[in-house]
Amino acid sequence: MVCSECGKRPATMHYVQTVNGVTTEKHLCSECAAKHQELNSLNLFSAGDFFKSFFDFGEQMPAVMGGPACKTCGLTLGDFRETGLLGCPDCYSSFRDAIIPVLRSTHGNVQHVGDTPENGSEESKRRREIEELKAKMQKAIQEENFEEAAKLRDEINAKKGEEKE
Amino acid sequence: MALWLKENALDSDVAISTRVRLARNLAGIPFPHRIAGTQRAEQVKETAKRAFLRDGMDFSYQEIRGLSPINKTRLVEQHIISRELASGNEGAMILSPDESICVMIGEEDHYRLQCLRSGYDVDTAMKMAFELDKMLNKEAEYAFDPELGYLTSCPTNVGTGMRVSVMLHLPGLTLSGGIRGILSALGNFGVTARGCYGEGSEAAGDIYQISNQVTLGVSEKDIAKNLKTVVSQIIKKEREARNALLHNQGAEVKDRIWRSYGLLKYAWKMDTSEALSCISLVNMGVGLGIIEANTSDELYGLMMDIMPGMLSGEGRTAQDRDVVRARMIRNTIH
Repeated sequence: MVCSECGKRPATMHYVQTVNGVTTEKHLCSECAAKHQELNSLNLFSAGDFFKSFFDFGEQMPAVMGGPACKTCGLTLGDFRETGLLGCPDCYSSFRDAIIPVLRSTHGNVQHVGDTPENGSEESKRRREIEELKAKMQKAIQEENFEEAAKLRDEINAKKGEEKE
Repeated sequence: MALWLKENALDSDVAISTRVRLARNLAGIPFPHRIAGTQRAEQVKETAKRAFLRDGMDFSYQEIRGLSPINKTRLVEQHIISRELASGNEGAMILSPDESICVMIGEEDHYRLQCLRSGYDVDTAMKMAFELDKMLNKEAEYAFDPELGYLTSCPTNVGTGMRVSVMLHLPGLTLSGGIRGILSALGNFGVTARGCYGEGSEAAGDIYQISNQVTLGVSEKDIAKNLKTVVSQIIKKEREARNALLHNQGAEVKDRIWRSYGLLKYAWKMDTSEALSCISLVNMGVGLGIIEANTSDELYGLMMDIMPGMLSGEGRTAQDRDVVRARMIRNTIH
């Protein structure tokens, strides 16, 4: 059997992967196999290096690299490429088109099938909202926007009132 | 010795420990590396305190910046916190009294819920981790996406956010050379292995950590099932390799085990790598019934206790450490 990738050298590695019932088969020579990260048993790469190489498009994709920042946290794809880390949960929607192929190559599948969180009690949601309002109020005070701060204070008190009821 | 190491753990002749880690983040708050030193970082800590520091629960809270360097090193070398958490100043942790449960706060993700078990015990470690998850979720609204699951700072953990690892002691497969074939086959099962001590691919003390690679598109149950299938096979192969070595090269193997025992018992100075390899062989001898010495959990504990960080006293040189290490070993081995 010849290598299914280069079609020249004899295939010495036979690789079968089944993810969610979809089976892919590869028959590779040792040279082509070396190019496949998933065949390397000791995956001693750092996530940063991995994503760096993944996004190393060079001149081809300047538009993406200099593209818009995440609206919530300001991270750009360039930052992600450097560290391998996203900035906030919203980055997953801001950069969805760029992230999905990465996820597909790392995990093989991009549909979560595991547990779903109950996601906090009403109580914890309210507390989070209060925390967020407090942060906004602090910011307003720092900017000497006292009218806004007073409005936020009333909102906080109203939320705290709900808590007691 | 590490408090979480227990006597008579399951399959402790080969398996040192089982660990389950869940990565969780709060909705609407940037990941730790973007909020260091801000009020939002405090909010992340406060949420965990509310969830875990309640009446009737025996958890303790500790800021990383409040730990002494030697204590940080101990926690890392006993696998209780990650090197990454210990190296920063911003994080915190919540610990159970025996340190088998650790909530790492402000590491790569807001929370890493970790359960450690002695020996090979994936089911209990998972059950404990999901109990922690429930407790935290009562107070915290998680960052979650119906398509991508639990959202994490690094996309390699997205989905279930679950990493199951089993630390295995594989001297039989190492001596017989069978380890290579096994390691190269692991990738096919979505599982990775790495040497636990030592640089690069070298595995000092013949200790390997086997973990699931994929976290998205597979359920928690299937991740555990898959990993258990692989680990059970490796444990079986390791026992076969040890028995085959004893059967085919009995004198050679016994000689190496007894020589190692002699070194541990009488050497005056010893570096980490020699100590690890001698303890590894003695543990194999204990498992095979060739030698009567310490139990496996004591020997695994000793492996962690002799790491350089644990022995670094003030002004101590590497040579001083080797002397202290040898003395510690002489006093422990019986």
